[in-house]
Amino acid sequence: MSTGFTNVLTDTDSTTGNSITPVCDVSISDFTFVGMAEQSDWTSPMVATFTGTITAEKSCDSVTAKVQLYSNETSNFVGTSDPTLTKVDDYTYTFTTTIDGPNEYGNFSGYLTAWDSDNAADKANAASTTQLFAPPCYLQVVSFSKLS
Amino acid sequence: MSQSTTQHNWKIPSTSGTYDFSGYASFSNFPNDTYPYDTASVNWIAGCQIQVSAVNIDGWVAADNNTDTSASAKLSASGTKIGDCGTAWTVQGTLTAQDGTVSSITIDPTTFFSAAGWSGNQAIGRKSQHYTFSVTATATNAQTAE
Repeated sequence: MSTGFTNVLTDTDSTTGNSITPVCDVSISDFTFVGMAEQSDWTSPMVATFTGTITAEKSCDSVTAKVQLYSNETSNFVGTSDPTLTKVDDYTYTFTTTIDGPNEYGNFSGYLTAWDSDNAADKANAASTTQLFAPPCYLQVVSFSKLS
Repeated sequence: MSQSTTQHNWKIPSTSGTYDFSGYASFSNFPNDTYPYDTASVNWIAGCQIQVSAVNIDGWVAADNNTDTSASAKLSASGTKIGDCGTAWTVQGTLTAQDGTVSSITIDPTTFFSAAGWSGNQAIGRKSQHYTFSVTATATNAQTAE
């Protein structure tokens, strides 16, 4: 006869902890080339307008973007903008930005890069559609005088 | 005719089994004559103690899309079973998230009761939240100690 011993046929124990935030992931949901227009006339620059939507995880606390205007005629970036991002909710940022470019006939497109400054390795990139800029034709009579 | 009773106590390992007790009486003035007792047979079943010794969250893996890494928890647990705890055991772990998500974790009893214990990774949600890791060990066919 066993005495003084209590059977313990089951036992439970537990612990708690907080998981860590994900490494920030930034993605581009939308990047639209709205259009181009002269600022005033042929003496003023061409102004290209872009809009975009960037999605970033909640852990991203310093989301940054850069938009560049690309000229197909010269194969160069001809303008840059650091758009101000508007935080729509915990995960979504939007922007509208303009870039001054050459007021010359040609095809242009935009390139968007978005990242978190604390997680620069994760850079998201997107290219816009290409659009033709055909500025109005201006004729200016520089001088007109009667010769005799 | 007089009658006397003698009690003897032994300490032996508590191992389940059938134990036979037998003895005999002898008298000092007749040392060559012995008088055997009846043999008594006792079926002994040792008690069982199941204990969860350690339950740990050893660390976390952060989700990272750059490396296709999913979030997970690094878990470990160990326990002991003392006595006659039968031949079958279950060890069940649950990881409960703050948002109510419950992950059921099947833990191999042999590994759990080994010296090294059990360890493993459990997939969790991407976002940071509070988790509770709980482990229950049960001897499913242990007999009741007599």
